[in-house]
Formats: sequence, C-alpha cells, structure tokens
Amino acid sequence: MSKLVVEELSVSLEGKRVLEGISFEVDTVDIVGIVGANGAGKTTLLNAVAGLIQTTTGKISLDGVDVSQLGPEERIRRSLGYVPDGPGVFRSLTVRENLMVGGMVRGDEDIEMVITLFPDLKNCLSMLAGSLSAYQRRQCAFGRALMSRPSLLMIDELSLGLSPISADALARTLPDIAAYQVGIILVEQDIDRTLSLVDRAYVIEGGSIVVDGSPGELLSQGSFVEKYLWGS
Amino acid sequence: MRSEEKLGDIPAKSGDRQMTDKGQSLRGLGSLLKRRNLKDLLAVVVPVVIFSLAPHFYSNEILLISIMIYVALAEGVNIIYGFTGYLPFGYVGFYGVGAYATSLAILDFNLPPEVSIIVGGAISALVALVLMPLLRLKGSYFAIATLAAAEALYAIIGNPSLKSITQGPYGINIGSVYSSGGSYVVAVVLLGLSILTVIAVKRSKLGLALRAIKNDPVSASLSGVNVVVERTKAWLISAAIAGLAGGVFAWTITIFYPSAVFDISISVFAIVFALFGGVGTTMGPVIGAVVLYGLYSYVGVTQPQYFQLIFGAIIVVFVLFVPKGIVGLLGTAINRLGSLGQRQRG
Repeated sequence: MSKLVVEELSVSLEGKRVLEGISFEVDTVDIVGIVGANGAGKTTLLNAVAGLIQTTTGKISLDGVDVSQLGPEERIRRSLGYVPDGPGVFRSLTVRENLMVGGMVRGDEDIEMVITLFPDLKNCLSMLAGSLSAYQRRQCAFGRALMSRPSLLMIDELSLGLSPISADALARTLPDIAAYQVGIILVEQDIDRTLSLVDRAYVIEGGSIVVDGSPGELLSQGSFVEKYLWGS
Repeated sequence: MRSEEKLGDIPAKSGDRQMTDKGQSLRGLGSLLKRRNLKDLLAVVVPVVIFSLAPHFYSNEILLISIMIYVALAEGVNIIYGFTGYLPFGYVGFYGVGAYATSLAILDFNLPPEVSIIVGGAISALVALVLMPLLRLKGSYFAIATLAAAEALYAIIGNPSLKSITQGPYGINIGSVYSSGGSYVVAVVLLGLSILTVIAVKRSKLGLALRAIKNDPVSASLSGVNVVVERTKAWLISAAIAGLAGGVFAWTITIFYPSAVFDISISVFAIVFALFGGVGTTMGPVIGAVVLYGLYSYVGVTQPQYFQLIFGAIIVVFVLFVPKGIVGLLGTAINRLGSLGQRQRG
C-alpha cells in the first residue's frame, strides 16, 4: 500500500477552480517531483495534502486511512512532514526550540538525526532562528519538519531565496533524508534540478496533471523539453 | 564539498557573530540551568517574602492585598496575552464570576472561605470553557468580544430577577466570615501561585507550544501542535487565576456590589500593569502592578482623570513600541552593556 494516495482531488479558492482531478501516489521509498509553471497549482496541491486548505472533492489517504476531513496537526501526527515555502521557522525561538516544537508530536527531543543531516545547525542551536542566514533558516525548517520523524516529507520550493550553491548543498541532503525511509515530494521551480533529484515527476498545468513519468521518459518527450527546458 | 557549503553559509547580519560569542560564553549548560533556576526561585520568593513582612511596616493591608490581587490579574493577563497574543479586555468577567462563586459557596454551602476561593477559580475556568468559541476571533475582535462577554456576565449576575440567587444589584454580604489575617494569607498565596504558574507555563511544553503558535500559527500546526487545544489551556489557566483573585477580593472586602467586581477598569489596570512591566516575562507584571498601582494609590485617587489618560497612553505606546515592557528594555540594556564590556575586554 502506498504511503500517500490522492484520488481525484479538486480545490476551489474564492470560487475559482485551482486544482482539477489530481490523482497520484507516493511511497516511502520514492522521491517524487511536482513541476509546473508559476500559478499552476503546485503549492496549492501541497497545502491541500497538508490540510491547510479545504478540498472541494476527492480523497487523500495516508497509510490507507482517509484524512481528507482531518486538520493539519492530525495529518502531521500520521507521519506527514511539510516544509512550506518561505522561512517555515519560528523566528523568535532558538534553533533548539524550533526543533523541540517539531518533536513535540512524538514527545521526543532527540535532535541527533537532524544534526547528522545538517551539521551546520549544531553551532547555532542557541541562536534565534530569525537571526540565521537564509540557508541556515531553511536547514532549520527541514530539521523542524524531520523532528516528527515523518515517513513522507513535502518540500515546497527547495531553492527559493537561496544562492545556487546553497540550493545545491541542500539538494544533496535529499538522498540522505530518503535513506531514513522518508518518501519525498519535491515542488520546485528549477526543473533541471528537480529532474536530477527525483525518481518520478508529475507535470501540473492549469491545475491538472498533464503528464508524468521518470526523468528519462519526460526528457524523451519533445513537447515537455520544448515547454519547460528550452533555453534553460 | 565542504568549502562549497561554507560559501553558501552567509551570515545574515553582523549581529550574528555577537550572538555566537554569547552562546559560547554560556556554553556550560549546567551553569545556565542553575542560573535560570535561581532566577525563577527569586522571582517567587522575593515578592512573597516582601508581602509577608510588609504589614509589619505598613498598616494599610487593604492596599497591600489590592496590589497582590493586581499582580495576580496582571500575571493572568500575561498568560493569555503574553503567550498567545490574545488581549482579553473582558478579563474582569472571570474576576467577577470568581468573587460571586466564592461568596455563594460560602453563603449557600457553608464552605470555608479558603475552599470557596478554589471553587471560585474553578467556576471561572468553567465559564472560560463556555466562552471558548471567542478564541476563534482574532485581534481587536477578540478584545471586543470578551468585553461584551464580561458585560453579559455582569448583566446576568446583577439582574434584579436573580435576587434569590445572586442578590442581584443589591450586592453580596459575607461579613460573617470576615478575617483580615486569613484573607491576607490567601492573598500572599495567590501572589506566589500566580508567579509560579507563569514560571511553570514558561518552562513547560505548553509554554513552548504557545510561543510557537504566537510566532507562526500555521507553522505550529504544521509541526503537529494543536493550536486550538493549546490556546484553550492558556485561556482556562488565565481565567482560573482571575477567579481566584476575585475570590480573594470577596473575602477581603466581604460586602460588595456587582458593579465593584465587574468594573471594566479592573481589566484595563491588569492589562496596563502587564504591558508596562513586560508581557511574556515572569517579573514584568509584578513590577508593573507594584509600581503603577502604588503610584495610582498615592496620587491617582485624588486625580483619577490623569491616570486614565496616562494608562491609555501606556497601552498604546507599549503595545506599539515596547512590546516587552520595562523588563524587556532592561534586559536589552544589560545585554548591550554586557557585549560592550566584552568588546572592550577583547
């Protein structure tokens, strides 16, 4: 059974249909990418899966349990992790406190795994998250999300606000995270980077999945390359 | 690879280096914990000892009890406003309910005053539970809605048609249990308890969750924190403290009208004292209540209009510009001096 099953998901925001008939599955061994242009509905999709916005129709299941009617904190308890775009940290809390909030669900304050994945955080545990660099803050947000030991981690805009070097460094930790039996859903503007990281990608256009496949399959389709990679 | 990662690791501000330095100087976690324990211990012991001894030096016990009640109320406001950002202008409602519940427990059930005060706190928490939907509101809507709720409670309890139960507008008389020594002792207990509660909340997981929620409610729920449940806990604790404070007031005064315990200026005072001293801190509300209520009793009683003006100004100025109050200002000043000294030594 797949970890996450999304069936025929539709979302309307302020009367406008933003997502239409989205279906996909992710398992705990997968790294799955969701790509598409600005405004295609990528972030909306993650927010809907996390329970931050109401879905109009469709079903979201985690481990075979329908969570469509549950609030975000209940879905996190069912081992879903989410690193939203933007800072995603508690700015006026220290890094250590950020991690502790993340671990509250399990009642565990063991930060060993996070420090192993992000050694840079070790030296700024007692600093306020708001005083960190953008890169450290992003690491802190990852750490916070991983503290609840999710078996599925959703990442919105890995590279947003980061220098290409930092974004690459952060991208290199994804396989390490996946090695902890964490499935990953990656939403990312940079399609080159996404395709280099994922096992499978879904392409969203105008709120619907238009094509999906492995990076190799997508790259062999002329229309996909023309639309998303031409000139980049 | 390592060097690349370091390149990406650009400090956001020049202040970062200072903070790391400070972190290193405090590296000994043990000594840090001990220092925090000592600070918290002093925060409870010092006010309790001072107020326990105060009657030997100052004869106006009613004033001393009033100050202690205001410390408790300010700490109660601290718990709901300081930790969640919800400003409860109708906070007095819980105080009034506590005063009435305490009095009725004495009159109707012949319970001893000390037990009745606990009943008052419990009933106030119960009323807070009923008013829980108010927590769905935000900002000024919440402030206004709690104000309306307090007025509604006043209108119910002070209603002439409930004369057989609450004595309505004719007031309460529990003069038969009057005991100046007894009420002073429970006031000191209330003082200590309210400070202790803030320390306990601050140190607990509840405190951490509440700070996270205040910082960013969406990220908090994405960390699995149940925003509604945690806020409700703070709301109930805060209401219980106000109920206890109302009970202590009732036992101290023994004869009072509903207008005395549902007076909106009690809310305003508690909020002003908490803001002035510093919300989110342990000692801020204590300092705020002692300094401002002392000042008010000294000069304000003869010219209350100036104090309304001053208190109004304090709310505006402190909410906008000094969110951490006097204690926060002092803390910043001490930190600045500390890092200045460090730099000179270095």
